[in-house]
Amino acid sequence: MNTSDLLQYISEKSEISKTESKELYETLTAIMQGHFDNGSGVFIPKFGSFQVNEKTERRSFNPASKEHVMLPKKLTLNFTPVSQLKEDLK
Amino acid sequence: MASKITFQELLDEFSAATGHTKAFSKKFIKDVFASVQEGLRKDENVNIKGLGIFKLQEVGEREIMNPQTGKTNRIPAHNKIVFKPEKALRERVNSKYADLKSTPLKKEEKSATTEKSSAKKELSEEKAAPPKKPVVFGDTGKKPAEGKTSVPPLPPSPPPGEKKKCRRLLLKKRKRNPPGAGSFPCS
Repeated sequence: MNTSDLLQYISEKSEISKTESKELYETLTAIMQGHFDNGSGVFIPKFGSFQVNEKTERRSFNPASKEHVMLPKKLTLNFTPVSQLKEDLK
Repeated sequence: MASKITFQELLDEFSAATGHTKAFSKKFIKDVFASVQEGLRKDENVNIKGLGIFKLQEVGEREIMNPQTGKTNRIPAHNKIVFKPEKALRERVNSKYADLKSTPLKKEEKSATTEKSSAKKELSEEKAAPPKKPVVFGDTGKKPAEGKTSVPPLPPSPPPGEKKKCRRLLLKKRKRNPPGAGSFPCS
């Protein structure tokens, strides 16, 4: 399933045109991305939560060049499905 | 950092941005993610712009043991949901630390960090494994002398914990490549 399939589904469900659903979908993702930028997560009922976590810096070893490297800390976006969704797709 | 936006706040923002009623926007957002769920059920793979890829990943059957009761339990094979944000989003989220780069560790730094980590281990290991000591002494009878001769400008008085650590490291090295005339690991 890709974006156009998704938009097809949405327009059928919400009974709106495809172009309109595309616009709305884009504003929705833009809003969500804006929150992720600020480091805050977004919770969606019956689906799951998106959350930004910080990974600490860590040592790493490249076996090919035999070099020890310190990887910097970074922020990652994680998704945790609600148990209802997990059970449904089991 | 760990704050989370509630659905209500998301709704408020969304309806303000689009000019639709709250009831409509609520239904719309629910529809979006219900469709994702449907897509997952159908194709096991949903690749959407703006967020990323939702995938179902198979998890094989496995047995677990409850360490308190000692009972074994079987977890049947199932699918789990995996989300991988698209590259642009990954970079966007990490923009705060984007200019940090990985740094190669020099030898001194390396030993410093290992000393720190192994110093902690040392404490626990010393308590846990006293019967190993005689073996250590027997094996390292020659090596420390070698190290002293080959590396004279060592700092004069390393703390007592460090010496033991060096021996252990030496033993480890010897196990891996016994014939090698390895240098003293602490230097």
